[in-house]
Amino acid sequence: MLTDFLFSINATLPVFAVMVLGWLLRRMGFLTEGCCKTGNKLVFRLCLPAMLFRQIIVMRPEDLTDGGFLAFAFGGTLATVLAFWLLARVFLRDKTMVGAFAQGAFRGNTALLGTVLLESICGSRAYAPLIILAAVPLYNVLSVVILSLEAGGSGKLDRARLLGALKGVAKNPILWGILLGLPFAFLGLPMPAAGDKALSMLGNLASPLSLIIIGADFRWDAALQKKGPTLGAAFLKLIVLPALVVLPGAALGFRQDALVALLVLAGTPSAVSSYIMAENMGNDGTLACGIVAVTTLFSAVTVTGWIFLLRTLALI
Amino acid sequence: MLNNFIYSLNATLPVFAVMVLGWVLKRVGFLTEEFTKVADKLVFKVALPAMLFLDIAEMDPSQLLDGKFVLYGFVVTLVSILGIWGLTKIFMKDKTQVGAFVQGAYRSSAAVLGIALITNVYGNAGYAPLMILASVPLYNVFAVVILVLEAGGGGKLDAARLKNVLLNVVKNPILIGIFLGAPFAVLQIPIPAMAEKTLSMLSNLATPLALLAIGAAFVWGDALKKAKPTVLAVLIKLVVLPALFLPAAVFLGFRDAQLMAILIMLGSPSTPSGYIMAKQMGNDHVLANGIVVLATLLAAVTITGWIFLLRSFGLL
Repeated sequence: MLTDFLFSINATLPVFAVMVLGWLLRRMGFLTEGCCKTGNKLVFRLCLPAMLFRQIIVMRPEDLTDGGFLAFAFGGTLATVLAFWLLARVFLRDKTMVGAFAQGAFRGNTALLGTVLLESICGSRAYAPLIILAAVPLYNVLSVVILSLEAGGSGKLDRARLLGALKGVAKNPILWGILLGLPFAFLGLPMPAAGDKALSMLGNLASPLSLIIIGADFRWDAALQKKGPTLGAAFLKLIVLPALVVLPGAALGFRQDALVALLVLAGTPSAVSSYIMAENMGNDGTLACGIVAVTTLFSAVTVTGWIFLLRTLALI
Repeated sequence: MLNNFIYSLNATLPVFAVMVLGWVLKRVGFLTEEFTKVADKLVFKVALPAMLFLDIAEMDPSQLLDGKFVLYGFVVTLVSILGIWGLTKIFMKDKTQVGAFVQGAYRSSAAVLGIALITNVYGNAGYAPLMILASVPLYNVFAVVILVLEAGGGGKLDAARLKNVLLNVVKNPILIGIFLGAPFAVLQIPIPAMAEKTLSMLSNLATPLALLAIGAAFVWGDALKKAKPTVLAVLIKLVVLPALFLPAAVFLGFRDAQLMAILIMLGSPSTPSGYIMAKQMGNDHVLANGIVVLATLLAAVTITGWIFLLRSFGLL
C-alpha cells in the first residue's frame, strides 16, 4: 500500500508542482497573459499533434494482441463519455459550463500520466499502446464534437452547430497528428530519424508547457466561484468513472495487468489538453483549468485507493 | 561513409529544423515578440538551470572531479579570446568595429545551441555542464570587459564596473544550476524521485523552446552590409577555432562525448545575446547582428562537417 502510494504520488505530484510553478511565475509577473495565449496555441496546434503522432508511429500491428481488451476499453470509454455529457446537459444549470465539465469528467491524462503509472504499477508497458489506441483518438473526437456543440452554451443542437462540429473534427490538429501517424504504424512507412527527432523536440514541449500555462492561467477567485461544478467533475473523473469501467471489467474477467490498464485508463486525472482545447474552442476555460488542478492534486490518493481495493480483492 | 554522413545530419538537422520552424512561425504572426521574450527568460532562468542541475547532480563523481576536461576548456577559451582580441587590435583598421568583431569571433552559443545539439545526439546534456563551467564565465566576463574598453570613443573599466561584471557571473542562473548540482554528485546524495521528475519536466522545455525563440528572433537586417569583417569573424568562429584546438583535444586523449562537447564549445555559432550586449554597450551592433546571423546559418553546414570528420576518424 505504501509503495503504491509512493508510486502514485511520485507520478502525480511533479505534474502538480509544475502547475504551481506556472502559477508563481505568473504572479511574479514573469509570465504574461499574451505569452500564455501564444503558448496555448503552440501546444494545441503543434506540440500535442507532434506528441500523439510519435506515440502512434511506434505502434505495431502485433502490439494489439488483446482484441477483447481493446473492444472493452473502447466501448467503456464511449459509453461513459456519452453518459457524462448527457448528465452535464441535464443537470448543469449554467449551460456555458457543459462542454468543459463533461470533458473534464471523462478525459483522462492517458498520454502523459497513464503510461507512467502503468509502467510503475505493472513494471511493463505492454498495455500502453492498447490504452492509447482505445482512448486517445476517441477522447479527441468526442471532445471536439462536444466542445464545438457546447461552445458559448446555447444548448441547441441545430444543423449549423452540427456542421460546425464536423468542421471542428476535420480541422482538429490532434486528430490530424494521429491520422498521419497511422500509415507509419500499420503500413510500415519508414520515418526518417532526423524528422522524428525534430518532432520529438516539439512533442516534448507539450506536457511541461501546457502545465505551466494551466498554472499561470489559474485564478483562485474564478475557480472558487465554480467550486461546485469543479468538485462534481473531479468526483466523476476520479471515483465514478473508474467504478464504471473497472468493476464491470473485473466482472467480465479482466485480471492483473489488463485490469490495471483499465484502472489507469479510467482513473487518471483530467488531461492537460482538456484545458488547452476548452480555451481554444470557446468553452469555459476557468472551469477546465480548475478540474485539471483538482483532479491532479487528489489523484495520488484516489489512484492508490483503487489499487489497494483491487489488491485486497486479489484481482491484481 | 554514408552512415557517418547520416549520423552527422541527424545530429544537426533536427536542431536547425526547429529553429527554422520558429522563424517561420514568427513570420506568419503565430509567435509574437512577447512570447519570444518570455520564452527566452523561461529557458535561461528556469529550464536550463533545472537541466544543468540534474545533469551535474547525476554525474559520476570521478567524471565530475576529472579536472583535465575543465582545465582544457578553460585554457583554450582564454587563449582564443586573448589571441583574437590581440590580433584584432593590431590588424583592424576601423577601431569602432573591434568590440563587436572580437566578441562575435570567440563567443559561442555554448549553453543554448550547444546543449540542444548535444542532447539531440546523446539524449542528455552529457559533458555540456562541465564545458559550460569551463567557458561561459570567461565568455561573459570578457564580453563586458572588451565591449566596455572598445566602445566607440573607448570606455573606462573602473572598479565599480568590474565588480558588477563579476556579480553578474555569480548571479548567472545557468552557473547557479551547475554549482547547486555539484555537491549532489560529489557526495552522491540521491535526488528524491519527485524532485527529479519535476526538474526533468522543466528541463524538457529548454531545448525546443530555446530553438523556437532563437529562430523567431532571427532578423536578417543589414547582415551583410559590412561583409568583410562579418565573414572573417564567422570564419574564425566556425572554422579556425575548431581547426586549431580540436587536434589538440584529440592529442590529449578526449574522445566521444567529451570530444563532442569540446567541438560544440569551439564550433557553435556566435551567441545572439552578444548582439544585444554590443548594442547596449555602444559597439557596432550592425556588425554584431551580421555575425550572429551568418554564423547561425553557416553553422548548420560547418558543425555537420566537423562531426562527420571526427566520426570518420572514429573519434566520436
